[in-house]
Amino acid sequence: MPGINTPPPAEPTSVRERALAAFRGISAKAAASNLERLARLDEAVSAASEGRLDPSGYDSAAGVAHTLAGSAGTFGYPDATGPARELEGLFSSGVLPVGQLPRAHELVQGIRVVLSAAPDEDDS
Amino acid sequence: MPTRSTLWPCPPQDAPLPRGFGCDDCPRSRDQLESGSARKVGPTPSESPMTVRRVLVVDDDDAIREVAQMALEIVGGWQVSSAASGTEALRRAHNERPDAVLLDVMMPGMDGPTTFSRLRELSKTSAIPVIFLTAKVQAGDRRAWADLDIAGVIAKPFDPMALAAEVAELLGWT
Repeated sequence: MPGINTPPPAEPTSVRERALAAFRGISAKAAASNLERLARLDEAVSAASEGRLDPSGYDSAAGVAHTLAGSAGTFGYPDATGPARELEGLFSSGVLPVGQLPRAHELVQGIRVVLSAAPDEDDS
Repeated sequence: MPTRSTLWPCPPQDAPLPRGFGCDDCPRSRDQLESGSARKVGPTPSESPMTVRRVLVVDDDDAIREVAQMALEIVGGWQVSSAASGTEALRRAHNERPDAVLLDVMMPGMDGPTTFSRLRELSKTSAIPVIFLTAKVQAGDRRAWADLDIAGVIAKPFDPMALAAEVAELLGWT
């Protein structure tokens, strides 16, 4: 039977291999959390465009964008950090003028594209 | 009693040694240690296991907390505990007296700077060096911390593989 005598995969032995193996497991959880954060930001942009985002909503959205900026970059999505920071800046102002709404939508969509790809893995 | 590296069991004889790997019980890495091309990542012969560095990681983001803990334990060889809030950080720092605290700045409830100030007010924690770990990169944000006696700032996003080295450099840990 093919594979019956196949030895199990070798356990990682080097520090780097052990760290990378652990990192991949944590990254999968982070990816799910970051997609949830992005969904919250998308909802916040929609709420702002409809005039129903209150000051606490702006604060909350700024915080979510801030967390996303740090987390996405740490877990292999550095191209999401800049847009997330820009969103944080927009929400931190406490108001999203009509003229800024297309930019906010664009940023959310851009982050979505980035997060839908495979993460960067530096194996050097 | 030979000092075991924190990488025990040792890499197989035909496997390349990780960069910086050093263990008194391994002839190959002993040569590297003596030549100065390797740096111990575990306890030195003069240190007992009780003197392994202990670090407290504080962050409300579960994944950041986990990856920082993982990086400092596996790559740094340190003992690491974690806290998800400023309040929990105060309790753990008071009870555990870590050698350093890695502290997120933006947290709900008690934020990083407030937590830092509270650590400084308590006699048992006042001397513990604190490093801010933060995605706040604007000069204005950094200026707000200029009067705080923190050991340094590590920016998010960070490279987990390099985190231990960055912490060690800021704290002067060799």
